Amino acid sequence: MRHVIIGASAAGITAAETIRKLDSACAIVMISDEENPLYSRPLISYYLAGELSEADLSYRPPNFFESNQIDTRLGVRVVRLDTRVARILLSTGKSLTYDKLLITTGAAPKFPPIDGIQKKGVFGFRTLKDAQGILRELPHVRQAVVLGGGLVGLKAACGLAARQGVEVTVAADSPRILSQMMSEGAATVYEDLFEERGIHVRTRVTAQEILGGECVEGVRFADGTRLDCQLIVMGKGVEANLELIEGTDIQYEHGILVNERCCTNIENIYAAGDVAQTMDVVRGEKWTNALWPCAVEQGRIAGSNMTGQVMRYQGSMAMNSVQFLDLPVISAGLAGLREKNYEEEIIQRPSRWVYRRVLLTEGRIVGFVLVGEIERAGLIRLLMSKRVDVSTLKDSLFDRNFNFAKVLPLVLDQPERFSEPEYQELRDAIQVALRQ
Amino acid sequence: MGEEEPPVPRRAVLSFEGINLSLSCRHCEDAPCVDACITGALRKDQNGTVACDVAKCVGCWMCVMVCRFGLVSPTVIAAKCDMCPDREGRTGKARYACVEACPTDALFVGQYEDFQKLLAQPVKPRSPLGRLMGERRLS
Repeated sequence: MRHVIIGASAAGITAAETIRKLDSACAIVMISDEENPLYSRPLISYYLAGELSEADLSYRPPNFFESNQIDTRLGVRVVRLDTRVARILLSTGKSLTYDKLLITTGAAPKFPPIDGIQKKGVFGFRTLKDAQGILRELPHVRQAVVLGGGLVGLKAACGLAARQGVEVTVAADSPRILSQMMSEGAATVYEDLFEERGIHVRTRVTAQEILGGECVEGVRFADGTRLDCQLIVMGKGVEANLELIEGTDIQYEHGILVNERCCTNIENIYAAGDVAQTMDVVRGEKWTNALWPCAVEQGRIAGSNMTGQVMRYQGSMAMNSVQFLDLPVISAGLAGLREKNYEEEIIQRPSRWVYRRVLLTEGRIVGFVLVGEIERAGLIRLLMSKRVDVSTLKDSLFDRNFNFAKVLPLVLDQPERFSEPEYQELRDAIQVALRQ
Repeated sequence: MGEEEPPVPRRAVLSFEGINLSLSCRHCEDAPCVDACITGALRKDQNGTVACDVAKCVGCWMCVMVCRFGLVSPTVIAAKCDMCPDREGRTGKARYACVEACPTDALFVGQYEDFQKLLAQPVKPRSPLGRLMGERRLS
């Protein structure tokens, strides 16, 4: 049995590890266009800031491939996939057949068709190579502009601002920054924080032209204003890397459509991670949630199913946790600025740097954002992911003493929803205790 | 891994219908915190223990976001039960700090199967909750 995995980031690595754990004899081949793929992409902002070294970005031991007996093709691209004969063609000119194929080609930053976007000094912010490219430019950079006010753009902005002598401006199309993750009230907390720490924020501005000769010298916006800069980071979101499957019989929309086993419409081809479109448990439809925790879990599910051990994916959801300038935020579900699909909201703003909001529909949590104080966020997310009625709990969700005991009645009453073995253990124990 | 930093709470005693529930990390079989960890700091070892390598944790709090029990604390690093690796070599009650400290012997350490046997015994310990500390069967 030969398993071939295209891509070697969160989903691919986890899948390979899972396959090896379940089957010590099979052949595993991993292909990555990166020479050294064993690093964590969400950490590159820490590297840009100078807080972590390249070695610190590693999330597996350096001998990971050898110790798991994985055959690698690194610095190599897959240029064609022929599903009829189960074969891939590599950029080296060689071809490779597979019994089971896992596609974890990930996603890539969007580069919208703005005039001048090909100039030297315009970067995406996804790979170590992106961060290293930015660092090489930095000695010549006095001003940097981040186009886009999303999570990735702001992580890049914070990383750049940590470097001495770089003036950073975030320029977003939307009325508020972080508009996918949070609504106005929470976003203003961060806009205030960024300005206070010297990162300029401009909203409702659309970049129209990137100015300069061969190198970036500035950016001009649709309203006629312009900013001088020697570096631009694109933070306009990502799109799934689908080039390889275009023209094949694998079904896709925004991403490769997979079922609960992470299998595509072709029986021996699986997909996981940012390239996969999976069931979103909050939205109730298939969605690409390009997030590290989802990629790892999908990798585990895909790997297990590839060995024949059936595992079913509960589904993904939008969720993220990040600290900008030491102020943490956790957001999940439908919590964005444009989200109107809720019946009730609970908002608390007890102090300048603390903001909490939960959105509910028919008594169920459909989204939340916690800024500043994030303790017990996992419990709110649990209630959301289990789609339980929280009518009896909703007024205490933000209380300081909100804890697992408050959730316990639901766990006891609904074993079919809270089916994880850890909950079963607690039910067993509590039933005995209650009988005493 | 001695604790040079000020100690942080790794257990929570919760109250539910007159029962005291002393809970720490459940070392979940398919631990969501391990999936979510972007640094590889949270790992499950071959004994089933989920522990945080404090040298690797950057404090992104993905683990806080996904913990099904709300039992990871965002202190300087992700603080949770780590099965006391600094007390390795000690035996019996002394092996785990909380078990040793518990004056009523309410904390149990062992496999789930053994825990079930304990629950089935005619004379029950006083509050038989929250002491499944790990050492779980391998999955």
